[in-house]
Amino acid sequence: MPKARILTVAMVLTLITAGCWDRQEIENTAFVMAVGVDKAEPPDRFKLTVEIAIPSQLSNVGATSQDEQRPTNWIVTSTGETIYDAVRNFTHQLPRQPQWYDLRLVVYGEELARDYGIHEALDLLDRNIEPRRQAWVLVSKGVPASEIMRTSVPISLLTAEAIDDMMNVSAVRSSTIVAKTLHNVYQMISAPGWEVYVSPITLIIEQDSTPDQGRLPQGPIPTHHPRVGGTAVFRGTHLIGWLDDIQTRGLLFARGEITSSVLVAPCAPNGGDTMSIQLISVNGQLTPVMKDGELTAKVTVEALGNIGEMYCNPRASINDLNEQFANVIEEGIRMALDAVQKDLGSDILGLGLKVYQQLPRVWSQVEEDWDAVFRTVPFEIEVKASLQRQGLVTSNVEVR
Amino acid sequence: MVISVLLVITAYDPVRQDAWISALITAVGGPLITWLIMTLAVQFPGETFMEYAPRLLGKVLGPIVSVLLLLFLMERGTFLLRTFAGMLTLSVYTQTPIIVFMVLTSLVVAVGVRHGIEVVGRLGDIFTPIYLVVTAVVLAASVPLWDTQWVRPIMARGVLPVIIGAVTPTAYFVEKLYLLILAPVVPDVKRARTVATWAAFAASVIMLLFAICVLFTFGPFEAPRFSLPGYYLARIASLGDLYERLDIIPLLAWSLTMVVHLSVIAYALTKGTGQLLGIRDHRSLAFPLASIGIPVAIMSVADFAQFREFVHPSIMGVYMLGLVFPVFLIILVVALIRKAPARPSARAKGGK
Repeated sequence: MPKARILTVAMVLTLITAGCWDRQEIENTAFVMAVGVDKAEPPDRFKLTVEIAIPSQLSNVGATSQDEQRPTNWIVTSTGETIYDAVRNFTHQLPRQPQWYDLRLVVYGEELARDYGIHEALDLLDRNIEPRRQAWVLVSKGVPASEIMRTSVPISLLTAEAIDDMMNVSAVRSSTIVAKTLHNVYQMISAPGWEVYVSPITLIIEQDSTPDQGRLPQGPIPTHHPRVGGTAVFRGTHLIGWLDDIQTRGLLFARGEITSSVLVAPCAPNGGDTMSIQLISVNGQLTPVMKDGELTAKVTVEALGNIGEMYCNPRASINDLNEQFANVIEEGIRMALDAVQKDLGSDILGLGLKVYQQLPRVWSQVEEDWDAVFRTVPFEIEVKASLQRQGLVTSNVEVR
Repeated sequence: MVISVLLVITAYDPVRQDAWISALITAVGGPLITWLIMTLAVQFPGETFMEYAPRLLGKVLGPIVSVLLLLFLMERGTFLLRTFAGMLTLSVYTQTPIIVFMVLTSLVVAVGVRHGIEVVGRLGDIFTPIYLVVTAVVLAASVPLWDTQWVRPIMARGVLPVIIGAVTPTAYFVEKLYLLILAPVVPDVKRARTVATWAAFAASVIMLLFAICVLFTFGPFEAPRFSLPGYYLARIASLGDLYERLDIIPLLAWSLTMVVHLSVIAYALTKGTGQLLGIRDHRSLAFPLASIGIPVAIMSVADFAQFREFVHPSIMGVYMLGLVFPVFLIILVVALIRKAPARPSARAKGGK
């Protein structure tokens, strides 16, 4: 009897420990770090360019021998009728099975974002279990996404990692970049009265491409590298235009999404000398209010800053400086509003959503033609700004 | 628990950002249902429903209702088995046939049932702290992603959607009818009633917390899209660099508790069937019932789309609250009016 039992247990164990259907061996996987999505030549619709990490080379950083210095990433391109189709078509080129668990970056080509919209290119990333929602979403500006994939950043081993870090850092340290993940994009698309905006990514072309003798013999020095910044503005899922850096800052002030930045403000209303202000804390709020039966948007910003550098001559009073500080913020917001409301007509501010949340009755009236209503909503801007610290010196060095 | 969030967020779309209010209503309705179920058990201390049903409802109606109760438990158990296996195949094991998980789970559950309710209870003792800690970590890890504005506007569409939204999660508590068979295993039924009611309340509170976290993290427009909102929350939540992309751990913890949950239902089903058929040792029924359960589970719900249709208030609510629960209420009223006819051999057995 015990024998029979042991036998049964053994048989069951062989059934369940023999492995499962979903096993993935590490030596058979290719880690996809970034994907660029472009329009493809007909009959195919989508062209995917992926950056695949080469783990053996990533752990080989200290190698000095010429032979061992092989590239750390591999860029592969595939086309297909749908995104998934294109993904599967990688099979024809990849000796290993692509894995999307580590995806850091999704770059949509400008043309694709304008012509197709990004809707079709989003579903797989949400439905499949591999990609994560924390991946950054960017739109390539002026170049196809595949070109972005092909660049490299010399101090990073992988382009995807470089841009990932860039987004992490500049989202905190700069006010002219919008850092949006897939998670944010899905929210912006699905919420009423809120349009999508993500960061553009461009290429900086370096004129002098001849390798410097002093540099390490790490292979050819790249002649271009990526730059992020500004805003790509969508309506629905289609790209319709761009905001420049200053307008982006205004947008982020109005949405209260700025954590830190450096602002350049004139010392006096008539311009001339300038000072640089390091923002310490910003509290921005966009509130819809009903004023005399008319929908009005109120932007209130409270900003604290430190003096970073100052070339004001003659020295201005702190009140005047505060005023200039506030003016610069207000001007930025104005510029952003003009672009968003008048030129592009896309509610990336999320004003409609705020109306839905705070004035649901009003929203039910304007919901139908919000796009048109948004263009006519008057904005009131109120900025309170004050300078806190002046630094280690009270005035800049005097020239005699 | 992954499933319970689904019930309040996904089951009825129009509730949207008010899902947490529905969860609040459930926190009242769920414990109430549990208390009522245990009240019937309190009338017949030391007896299972199968034992007192013939005395209470007559020699014909009693067994019929007993069979209905067993069928209901069979349906609940297989539904849970199907959902559990579905959760695994949807989230991690996307290529593995669903029947693998059903067979393995049924085996585990059947072994547990054969060893008796003590073993199942001990499992609960071990897994519940794990479950609570992991769930707390997942919920806490979602806090940095919160946008509390998502909760507005509160009840913009009036009270009705909120109430309809509460129907499915509340109806789910009717499942606790298995307590009618389990109650005799504890010496003090009255205390058990208090404990069960508080347990139901605690379950609703966890569901409420889940609903709030999912709502604040994803917003009311995204959340109803997810097949498994709780799992989705675990996927995106991260605590700095310390805890990131570890959704497999919560999934494991939730799986353990679901197996315990299923074991409880399976135990009640096995014991009830044994008593109804007059089999002295009901344990021998564990494997046969498990083998029946697997095909029933496969047939119960075709896919997750159908699952969503099934949990819609118009189906789940009518089935559980409109069909099953009234039958129970009638029995409870009859029991209260007839003042619990004394068990013939109560004194002989010691009337534990």
